This record gives sequence, structure tokens and C-alpha cells, in this order.
Amino acid sequence: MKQDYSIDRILVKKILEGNSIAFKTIITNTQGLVIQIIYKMIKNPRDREDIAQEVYLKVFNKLSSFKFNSKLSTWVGTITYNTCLNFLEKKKIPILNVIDKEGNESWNIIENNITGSIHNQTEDYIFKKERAHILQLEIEKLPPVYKTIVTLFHNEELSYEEISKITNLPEGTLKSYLFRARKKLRESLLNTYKKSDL
Amino acid sequence: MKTTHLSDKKIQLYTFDLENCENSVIEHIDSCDVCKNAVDSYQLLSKTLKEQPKPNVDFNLTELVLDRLPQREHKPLRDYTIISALIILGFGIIAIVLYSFKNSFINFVEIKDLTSYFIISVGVFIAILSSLDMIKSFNRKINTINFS
Repeated sequence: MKQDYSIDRILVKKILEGNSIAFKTIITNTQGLVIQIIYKMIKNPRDREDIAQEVYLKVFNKLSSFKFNSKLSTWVGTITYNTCLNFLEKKKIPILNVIDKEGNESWNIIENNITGSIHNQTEDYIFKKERAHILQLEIEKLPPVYKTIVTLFHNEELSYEEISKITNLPEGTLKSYLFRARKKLRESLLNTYKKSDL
Repeated sequence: MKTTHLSDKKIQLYTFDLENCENSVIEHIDSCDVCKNAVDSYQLLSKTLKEQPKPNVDFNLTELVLDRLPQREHKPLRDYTIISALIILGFGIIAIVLYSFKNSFINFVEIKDLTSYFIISVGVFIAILSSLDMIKSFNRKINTINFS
């Protein structure tokens, strides 16, 4: 279904007519999403700043080609994601796998069925503040694409459709990545608490 | 008593995508404490993920970007009202002129009906437009030569 993006249309029209205040509004409205994607994909603070600027310069230059097939924020998100991907590819940084010191992929997903003993311990161990901190550390260990998807879904609360448009991943693949990432996060959390308990 | 538990995929489907979850999975979770605990732990994970703080940005992005923006020329949308009015006026004037001097024209080109007047009017008008365009194009080329 074609949606009505009237506010986006007004903003884009104003910018194309030379109104820079309207572009400021776009930055204000979308920078939360842009920053989230960049911070999840890119580690170096200096690179983050450069990429954030690059993203908005691209948005400004490509604005006349925006066809309103999605929300403007989703389109800006797509540009951000692609800019980060290009950057990582240039730097030869793996985007789906984390390579350990021996050169092995450490992002192995074990498709075991869940056993009861672990879950019964979960809530007993986890305290809110610590849990948030440990989770933050565990998210940082995820490969960039997984990290971004998890954040867009759980933190930014975007729909599968919107994330799919931003990342250009089919919804099936996206769901599969989300499953893996959540499983990995949960396992890491449980392992951390189990180790500290010993 | 149930001896097998649901796979992680099904547990997550129940937790995050209930609409696409089979009834058998829902029934199982309702009656199995182990799987229910797993669901609870995923819900807890989801809640904690939602509560993750937004990144702290130590630079003013808006300012940095606006400083680097190329100046876009103010291009108001072209208003075609005046052009349309001029074209209609042009047609009118030519038609009036031709009609007023129809006797001389009839003698000259032997035209007899209104269609012929109209065709001649359009022809003359197009000729005027092409001449104006040629002059404009000529001036532009001359200017280019002068600059280079």
C-alpha cells in the first residue's frame, strides 16, 4: 500500500527550493537513528563523526532522487547503513563474523534445544543494573550487522519491514539474524553469570 | 508428562512474533514450566535491550553538516500562467489581424474558410517563436565565445 508521506514531501520540497532550515529539521528528526546505526557499525569515534557528516551530505545531494517509496527516515537509515557497510568493506572489517586471534570464526551458533537447568537459574542471577551493563558489553561483541539489527528492532522499535528496507535484507534473513543474535546474547549473559558464580 | 522441550527458534517466535506462532507451541508453553522460563528470560532480555541508553554524541552534528552544505540556488517553481496568457493573446492578435485583412489575403493566397485562417495563424506564430529561439541561442553562443 502506498503511504502518504505529506510532511516528508513538504520538507523535501522546501529543501529543494533552497531552505536550509528544513534540512536542519531532517537532521533533528533522523539523527537518533543515524547515530544508532553508526555507533553500532563503527568503532572508532573519529570515523563515526566523519561518517555521520558524510551521510547527511549524501542525503542532501541525493534528495532530488528520493521517490517517497518509504518514510524519509527509513531512506536516511538506508544511506547510513550502506555508507557504514562501504566503510567496513574498505577497511576489510568483517560485517557478519567476528574473527578471533587464531583466525577462526567465533560466531558459531549452536542449534541445541533448550535445557531447563539454565533457565531456572537465569532470573535468580540477573540484577537489573548489572544485567544492563553486561548486556551492553555483550552487544559490543556482536558482529556489526547483528548489533545494528538488534538495536533497530529492540531499541529503536522499528518494524521488520523498515529494518528490511534499511539493511536491504529479506525479512526471512533478518528474522534469522535476530534469532541468532538474541540467542547469542542470552547465552553470553548466562555464561557470564555462571562463570562469576564459580 | 512432556519429555521434550521446544527449540530456541520456537521459543523466540512465541516471545517476539506471537502472530506467526503455531497453536501447538502456545499450548506447550502454557503447560511447560521449562519453556515458560525460557520465554521469560527472552522477555527479560528484550526489556533490558529496550532500556539500553542511547549513544552519547560528543559533537554537534547539525552544526557540522550545515557548515559543509553546498549552497543550493533558490529555484522557485516556474509559473506558466503568464506564458500561457501570452500564447493565447498571440493567437488572438494574429487571428484578428488575419480576419481584418481577409480580403487582401483572399486575393493573395486564395483562402476561403476559417480552418485556413487558423492554420496560417498557427504557422505564423510558430515562425515567430522559432525566430525568437534562434536569436536567443545565437546570443548564448556569442556570450560563450566572448567568455572563453
